[in-house]
Amino acid sequence: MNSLSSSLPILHIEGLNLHFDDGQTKALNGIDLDVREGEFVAIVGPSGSGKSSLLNVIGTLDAPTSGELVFRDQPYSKIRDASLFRRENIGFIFQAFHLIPTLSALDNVIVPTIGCDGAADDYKAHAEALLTQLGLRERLHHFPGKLSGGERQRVAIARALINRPRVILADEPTGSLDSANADQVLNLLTGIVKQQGLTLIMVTHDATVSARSDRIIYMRDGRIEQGVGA
Amino acid sequence: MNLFRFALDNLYRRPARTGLTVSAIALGIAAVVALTSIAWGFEASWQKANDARGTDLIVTRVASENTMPSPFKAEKVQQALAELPHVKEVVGLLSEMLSVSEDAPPVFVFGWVYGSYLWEHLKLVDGRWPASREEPVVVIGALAAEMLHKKTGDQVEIEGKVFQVAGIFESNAVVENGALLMTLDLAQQVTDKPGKVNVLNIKVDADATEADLRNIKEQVKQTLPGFVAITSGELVSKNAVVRISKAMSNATILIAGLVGALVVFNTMLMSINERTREIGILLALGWQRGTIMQLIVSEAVILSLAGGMAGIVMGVGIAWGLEHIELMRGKIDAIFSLPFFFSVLALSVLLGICGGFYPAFKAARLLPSAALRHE
Repeated sequence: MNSLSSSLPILHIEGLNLHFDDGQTKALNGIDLDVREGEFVAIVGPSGSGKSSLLNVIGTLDAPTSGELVFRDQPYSKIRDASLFRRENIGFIFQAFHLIPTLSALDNVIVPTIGCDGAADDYKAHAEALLTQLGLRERLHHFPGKLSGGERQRVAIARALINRPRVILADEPTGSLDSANADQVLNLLTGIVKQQGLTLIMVTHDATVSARSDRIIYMRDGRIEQGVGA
Repeated sequence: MNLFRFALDNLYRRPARTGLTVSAIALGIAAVVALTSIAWGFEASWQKANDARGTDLIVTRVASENTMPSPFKAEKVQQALAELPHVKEVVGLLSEMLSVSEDAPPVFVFGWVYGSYLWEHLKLVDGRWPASREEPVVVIGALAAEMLHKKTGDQVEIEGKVFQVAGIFESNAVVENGALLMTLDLAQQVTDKPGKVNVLNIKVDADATEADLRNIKEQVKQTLPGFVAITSGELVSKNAVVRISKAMSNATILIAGLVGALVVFNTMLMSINERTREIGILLALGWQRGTIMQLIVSEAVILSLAGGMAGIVMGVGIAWGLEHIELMRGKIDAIFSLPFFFSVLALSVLLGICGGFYPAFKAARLLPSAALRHE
């Protein structure tokens, strides 16, 4: 943790608001947050507190109503192509895995590279290496329906990493897993993130998961609760 | 894994719907292929028959637009034509569609001037030719012989009169192969049209040029009011039946294209509604909107192309079947060509693009976060 304190923020958020229904619903309400490069930040809070909304805005899936977000030196407001920004910088992991059922584990990992420049063989080799690293060497050609929940989430992790992003956004990645699988997935994810020096922002309800983070952010009613956390 | 394979996988995911969509497109394309090939074949077979005879110009009534132009008294016109420069031979031709037995479909019966050049292109495969203008015999095309189950020496009854089959011939033109042939004098007697012909065929001498042919046309126009001299191609192309069949073929292309595009449109719209969340995932994973559009349009084009290919096979089968049913044998000769098949495939691709564009556009405009929340 202390080793991170001196590193520069990869993400700077200031006065972030996300309102719906002409301001009737305030999903995010004045969020200020800095996330440092290589940091593992856990976001916790009750349902409807704005955790996933914050992840969506950071991942450019939702545009904020107001406020400033800066990724390294690049303000979000200057991003011309959000898809390209996501592809180059963000890796998503979802609670429900969201794998494509008709594709094998290997092809699911390769899917984000479709439409990218670069050699297909290189992407395939990278995907195989990631799946091997995640313990799925023998499951490359298995379809999601033939994989356990833990294996599916490991495929999803490999998919999030295929484009070599700098930030991983994980929305309750262990929420659908039993404790043994959850522990295994978390170990693999944090291990790779640390090995590659990636930044991990994870929404979780699980105290044992958040306990392994560098910092815990508590959210309630679209705000970060000040004075609470690691 | 690439975009094409991903698109194929997506279609394979719903085999029943994909199969039904491809079948619907294939039916439309088959109708296009069958009707167009028959329309072209109908035109070409008549032109081939005229060309095979070695006729340079055909003289007929100005307003006549039938395959068999209405008959006219030939004598004076024939004399006038024979005096024109470079005209080597002028011979009359009478043709009718007649029944030759109760249980057989009607066939063409041609009456040609005995001993004229018209007979020269035919190949006698059995028996003999008529021995004189008046001999009460017919020769029949090989296909007609097969259809009517007749051979040399048999008898046929035409308009209540009995004729012996003197021989069997073959021709390059399917309309002649499926026809009965007799001398013009006999044909005029049988059809009760003494001295009348449907057309007069002009053969010019070897020295005649294109300019001479144009001159003959002009002379006919000026000296024979009510008549026109045209090439066999012109006669066929102004033929009402050919024009109607071509118009029907064009209408079928239009209808099949519209229906095909609508089928693709409906299928792809259903597909993207079902896959809204998946599209949201792809967007979240960094897919660009253009790539989403390419995926959906690719799926639409694969569907329509598969329908187009299946439709070509079906259309060829339908045309072949029509050629061989008793009623149509010897009357149509469907024409297929590679450029035509490529045009049909291009039409298929076009309707795929048209049908897939809006669903692709709609998919590409989805908001990733909303798409991910879609149930």
